[in-house]
Amino acid sequence: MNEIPQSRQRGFTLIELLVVIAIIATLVAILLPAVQQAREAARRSTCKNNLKQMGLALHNYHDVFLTLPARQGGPNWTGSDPPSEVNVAPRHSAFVAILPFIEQSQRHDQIFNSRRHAWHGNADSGYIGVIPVYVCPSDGPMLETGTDRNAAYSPLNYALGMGDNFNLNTDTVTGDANIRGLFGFRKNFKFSDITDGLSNTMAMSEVVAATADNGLGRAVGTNTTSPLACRATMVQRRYTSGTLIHQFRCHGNRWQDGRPGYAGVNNILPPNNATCSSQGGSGIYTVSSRHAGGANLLLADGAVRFVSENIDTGNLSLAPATSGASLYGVWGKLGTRDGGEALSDF
Amino acid sequence: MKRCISNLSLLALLLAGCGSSDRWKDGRPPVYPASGSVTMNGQPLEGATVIFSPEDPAGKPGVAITDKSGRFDAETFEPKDGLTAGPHKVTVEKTTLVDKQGNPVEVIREPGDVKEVREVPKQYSNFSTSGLRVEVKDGKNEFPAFELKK
Repeated sequence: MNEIPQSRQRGFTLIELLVVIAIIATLVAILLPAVQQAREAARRSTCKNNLKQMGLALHNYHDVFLTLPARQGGPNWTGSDPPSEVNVAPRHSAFVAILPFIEQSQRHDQIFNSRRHAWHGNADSGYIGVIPVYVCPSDGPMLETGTDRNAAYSPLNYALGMGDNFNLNTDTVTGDANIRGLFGFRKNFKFSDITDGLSNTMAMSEVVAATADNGLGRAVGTNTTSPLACRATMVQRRYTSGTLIHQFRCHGNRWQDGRPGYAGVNNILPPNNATCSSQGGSGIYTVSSRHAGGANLLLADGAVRFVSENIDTGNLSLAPATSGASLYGVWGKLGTRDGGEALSDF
Repeated sequence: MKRCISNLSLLALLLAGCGSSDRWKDGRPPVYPASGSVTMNGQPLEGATVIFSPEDPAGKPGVAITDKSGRFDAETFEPKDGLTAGPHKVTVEKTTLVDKQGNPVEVIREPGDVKEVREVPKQYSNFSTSGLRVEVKDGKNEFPAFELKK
């Protein structure tokens, strides 16, 4: 006589359930940041690829015109109708000059047909719009509207290397005398001018777009010729002193405008530090990015390198060198085209 | 459950070990805490920028901004970390930005609309004419007050 034992249905105990939940929670906690980091790594490689594309564009430009484009140059157009040439400083940036070399020749044609000045906000000016190669997705999206955006939405997350001197645009007729980098006002340099070597000279860098608060990307209008005083305005990536410049008059705006406050950087303060800008002239325009620990650079030979924000900047209390080796450490040496410095690894 | 907790703490230890050192930071000279104060005609000077230029070529320059009571803690690499050893020449500067009517500017728009006004005589902003000099030694440094006159 077999009596079937009455079996209770087997279930999970509370402890077992809790352990399973704890394990799942731990896995999620480990994996979620990893996923976020993978997303940022993908964005970072897009930012690097954009720099590489612009490096190729610069080389192709040099092949055609036998010179690099000027940081600020081009025609003297006013916004009047019919457009006329007047004796104002030309404002086209090198980012306008290389448009045909990044497959944007239609936009280049539109700009040269409409003949508006470079900060013109008209829809038919050719200046308005997002050019994907000029935008680094690691940087958050900029405000598309707002007061004082007189050259409507045209973001720019990259800037041109001007060298290690903060005295800029001092001569608007004959061009910049103090450009020790590759890009200046009405200055066109050849690869043969880069005697330090194409692989030892910075051509371009990343910059972040100015935010509405006092964070990285904004600029102050004071201390434009004193690197250390400029640095002291910023503590932990926030400006704590100095007079801020309007959000839309800092880095991150107007790819079409060649003024140093929009399109230029110099190798004085290390990456992710303060910018002290006069918008159109002298200033300390600093490389910046949202990547942890530094920023990507484009070297003149087309290589893209990540550089630490702790890079050696020499003695910033000295006046900038006007010839010979840079006084601003490895960072300054990287910025000059003919300083004659031996550059150690960076 | 105890085992689970011990496993978790082991994991946390492993993750904490992932910090990296930076060779630029490793190559920096040592800095020593340095503080002092600035007065103008006997009154504490707020918001002045004090810059230290090392006479030793191996030294690094430092900077400080004075607080409400005119006091400052100098920094070289990180906030308030101090200065490199040896003699430093010093300058003191304070400027404000004003508009065409002479009112202080809050946010700068057109570049031509602002003017920089010096609040400290020009002589103090030049290392060769300021006449200010400090010596930084190992350990904590408290400099005698910089007494400026207009």
